[in-house]
Amino acid sequence: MFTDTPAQSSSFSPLRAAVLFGCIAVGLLGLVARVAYLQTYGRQQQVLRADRQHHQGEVLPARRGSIFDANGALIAGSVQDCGVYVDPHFMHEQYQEQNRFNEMDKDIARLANLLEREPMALSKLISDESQQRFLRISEAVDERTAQAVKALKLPGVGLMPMNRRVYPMGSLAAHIIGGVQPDQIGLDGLEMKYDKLLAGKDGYQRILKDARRRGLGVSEDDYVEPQHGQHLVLTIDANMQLIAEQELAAACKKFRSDKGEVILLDPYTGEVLALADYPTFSPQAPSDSKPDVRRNNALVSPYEPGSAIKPFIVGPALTQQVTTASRVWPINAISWATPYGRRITDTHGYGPLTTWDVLVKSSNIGMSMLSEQMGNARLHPALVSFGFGKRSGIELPGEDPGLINPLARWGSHSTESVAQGYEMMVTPLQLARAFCVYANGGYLPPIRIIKGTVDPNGDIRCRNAAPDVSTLSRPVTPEAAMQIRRILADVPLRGTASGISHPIAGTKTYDVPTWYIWNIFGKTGTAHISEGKAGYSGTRFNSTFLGAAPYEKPRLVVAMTLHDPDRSIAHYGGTVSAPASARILGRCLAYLQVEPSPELEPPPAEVMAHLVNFDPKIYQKPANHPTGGEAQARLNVRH
Amino acid sequence: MDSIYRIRNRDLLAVCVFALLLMGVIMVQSAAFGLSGQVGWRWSITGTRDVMFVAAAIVAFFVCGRLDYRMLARPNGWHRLKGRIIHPFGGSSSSVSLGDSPIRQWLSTPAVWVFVIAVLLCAAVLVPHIGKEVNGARRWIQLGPIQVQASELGKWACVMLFAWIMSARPVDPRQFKGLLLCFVPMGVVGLLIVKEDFGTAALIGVCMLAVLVAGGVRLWHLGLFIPPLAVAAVYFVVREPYRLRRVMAFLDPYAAPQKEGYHLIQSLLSFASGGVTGRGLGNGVQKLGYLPEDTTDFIFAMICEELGLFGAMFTIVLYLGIIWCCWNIARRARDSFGQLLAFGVGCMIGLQAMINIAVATVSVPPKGLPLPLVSFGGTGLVITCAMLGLVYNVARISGEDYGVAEDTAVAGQLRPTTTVAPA
Repeated sequence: MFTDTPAQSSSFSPLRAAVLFGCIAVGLLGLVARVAYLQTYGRQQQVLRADRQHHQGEVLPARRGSIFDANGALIAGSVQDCGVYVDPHFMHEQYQEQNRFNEMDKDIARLANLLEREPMALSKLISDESQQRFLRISEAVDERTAQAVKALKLPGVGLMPMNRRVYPMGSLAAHIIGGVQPDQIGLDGLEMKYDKLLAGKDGYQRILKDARRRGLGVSEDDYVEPQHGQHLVLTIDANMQLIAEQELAAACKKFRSDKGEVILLDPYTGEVLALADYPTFSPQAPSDSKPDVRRNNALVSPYEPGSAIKPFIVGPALTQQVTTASRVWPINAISWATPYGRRITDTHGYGPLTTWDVLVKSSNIGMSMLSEQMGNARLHPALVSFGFGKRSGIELPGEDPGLINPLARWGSHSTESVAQGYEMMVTPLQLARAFCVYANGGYLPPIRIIKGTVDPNGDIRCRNAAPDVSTLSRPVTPEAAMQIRRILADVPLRGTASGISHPIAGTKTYDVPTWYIWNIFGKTGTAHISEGKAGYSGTRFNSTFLGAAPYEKPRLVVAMTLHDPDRSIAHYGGTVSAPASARILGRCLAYLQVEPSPELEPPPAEVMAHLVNFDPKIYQKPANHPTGGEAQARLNVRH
Repeated sequence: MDSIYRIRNRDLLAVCVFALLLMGVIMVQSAAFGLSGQVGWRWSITGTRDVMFVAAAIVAFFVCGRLDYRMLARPNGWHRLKGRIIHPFGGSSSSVSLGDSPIRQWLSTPAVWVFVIAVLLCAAVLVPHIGKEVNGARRWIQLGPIQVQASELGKWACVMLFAWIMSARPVDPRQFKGLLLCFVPMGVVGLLIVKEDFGTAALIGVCMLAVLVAGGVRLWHLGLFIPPLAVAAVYFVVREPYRLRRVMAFLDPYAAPQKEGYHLIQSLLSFASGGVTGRGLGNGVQKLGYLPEDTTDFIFAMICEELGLFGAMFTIVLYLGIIWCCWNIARRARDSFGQLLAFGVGCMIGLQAMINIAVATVSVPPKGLPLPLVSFGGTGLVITCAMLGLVYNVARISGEDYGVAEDTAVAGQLRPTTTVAPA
């Protein structure tokens, strides 16, 4: 029994052993299949989870591009700051684990004091969001605060780099720039319109992390470089923008107008040199202002321009030789009945006026007679050719095309209404653009506010080329344009805006000494504000002034509109908007150091013959008038 | 048929064993390397220790491959061996006779006293100051500088004991009474181990049943034991709450992703992370502290993550190779002790590999079993290799080479052999 058992008599059953081994082998082979399944189809649901576990994604924020004025002055820029964040979940966990839960509020209070926040509110916020993993509690803290926060060593509190938008010029050009939301997304203006360009493209990296969440590295495939935003260079000149804003605000305050706009254009290129709205806001904190205030009325809120439209009818009338400048219109009363019986009135009884003086005096009757002669069929395309009813194409969001009803919907009333600037809506920007036609000698320039872009390396990416004048539409001939320009040069001297060239009553000081140095030409407009079905208000007006200077070679076109000035002070465009516009022109021309104008030639004899009480002395500039630096100093004195 | 190119079974066995050991060294080093969180090559402490254990295991494999396995089943076998070593060419005159009492004869059989020692160690582990507790389970015993996992020893002692019982037949397992007596040692080891190491106890139970089946017990005898064993198994699972939770966790790992399900989820994520192609050797991510027990119980998941389906198939084919060799060696062995020993060892390794891989692939509820020959296992690795060395020795002594006994060391003890016909 205790000797070797020969194999032949073995109790070992090879068959049973084979079956048992076979079972194990089948089991192992089955497991190969199981592995293959887990690595292929079974993988789908797990692979994302595995990836989340192994990698932590991190956004590499792209720097937002800056916005510069035409001279390279920074209007909007980005700086990197330190933000403070909290991981409330982790924070609660840590305090609970260390059994120091009662100290938590005290620690949060210390943090709140550093960040100048309400301790109770912060404590409540953190406990309310206790399931969150990320909570930003401060957008930007300075270096010292950041160090202090770090020194607190609170669990779950960390610092992160954050880009912050800064506007070094404060509220300057606020309506153009717009502002950004806290998450650096453009809220309004150029910041919104060019958000993609400015924002660039955030980069991304996936950091391989071990189980203790220590970063081990970033593989090449997991790194996407951020593409920083491009910079914008505007056509805006910060100096002229400031002048425009100051004068607009002063005028609005003086005449108790709650809304006003001013636009300053280069008449040859159509570049916007300044564009201001009143009231303004701070782009640094756009959310502090109402959307209503942030609206760029200069191009999104059309209105009925009133008499300011008249040169854009007379110009084509002269071009199409409907009439001549010296043609006399038989005005014999303060009111006139149209052929279909509508009553048109003037502010004064003028007597017979030449076309020249119809424009200078802004006679509604004269304009009605002229437009009656012109007819709707020629009136409509004339206005359209000046760009009314179409967007100018300025690179700002929300531009309104204004409104000119299609010709088919014009009735017989429309002839007179349109001639006086009603039954149509224009934006101040459209008016300024149309006025460029007379300033540059006959062509309608495209409007632009972006001079070009600069890529993050500082290389100029694209530059808006100056317009090719030969391809632009020409609503009037150069001769007609020159003629209208000359007619309008009389407006500030003996027309509706003559207030700006007269001394203040009873003194020898001049409110606006601009005209001493540079000849201004322009047109006023005073329009009743429509009150919907109630008709037109008899007491509320929009006061407009369209102007350009100097007369000989215009450098600047200005369009200013004040809405609803206090009628007890003044309401005519010539007394409300014209002086402020003239001050803007004067200060800007002084800033540009433009050559002073010579004295104007008097009107031609055939026009002069029909003038009543004409005094040629008005064309003489006062002796010893201030020029150069002295003029600028006097212009800069605020009244 | 017997061409000179034919690979001998025992050499194929050695190749499989060494390949798995090598795989183990590489993967343990790779896994342990990940924990350090460093970039660049560096020998880790675990990796270095593994190399030392593998070296010891290879030595054990060759030493046992030279020993005559038959002495394990002979009374006073140890003294005969000692005599061989002292007098390589002489007889064993110095053996101490224990008399003719069957009990004494049994107790003088090495297979039996190895088993007795293993049982004593298993019992000693349960004593608080002797047994060393790791991860909440008291499985290790400190013997000088090395730790021994008592259950590992008990496992292999059972294989030896049952091979001896089935061949020497101190009781006749073909009779029901004999079969019942067979369950006594199994029950002793099982009960000692089951508290701390349920997986190993279950493995021993299954493997011993397989040895009984292969050893020729009547199947209906065994069938009688199935209902009570099933009841006992369920009882053990239900009694310890952590076991039940583990079982439930296997069904839905995401029910408790941070607790019971964590191991399983991480294992599944390893397969997902590697995919069919794998991440490449050393590129595994799960080893960065995510996959627990990545050098031991879940090393297969790591192999799959780094080496993909190829690595998994390679590993499993090596185990299949071991089983194939064990079967061939078993059916050609000279005596039934050798046959059952080869079968038992092959069965134990195959079953353990199967269970480990099944756990790693979340195919069965988790058990704390290492992957034999691959996992970082310390003394268990050495003992396993020693047992495989014995199987190697079985093949040598069976003279599988051209049917000629070639064991020179113990040739003097051999009776003339008959040629073993190929099956």
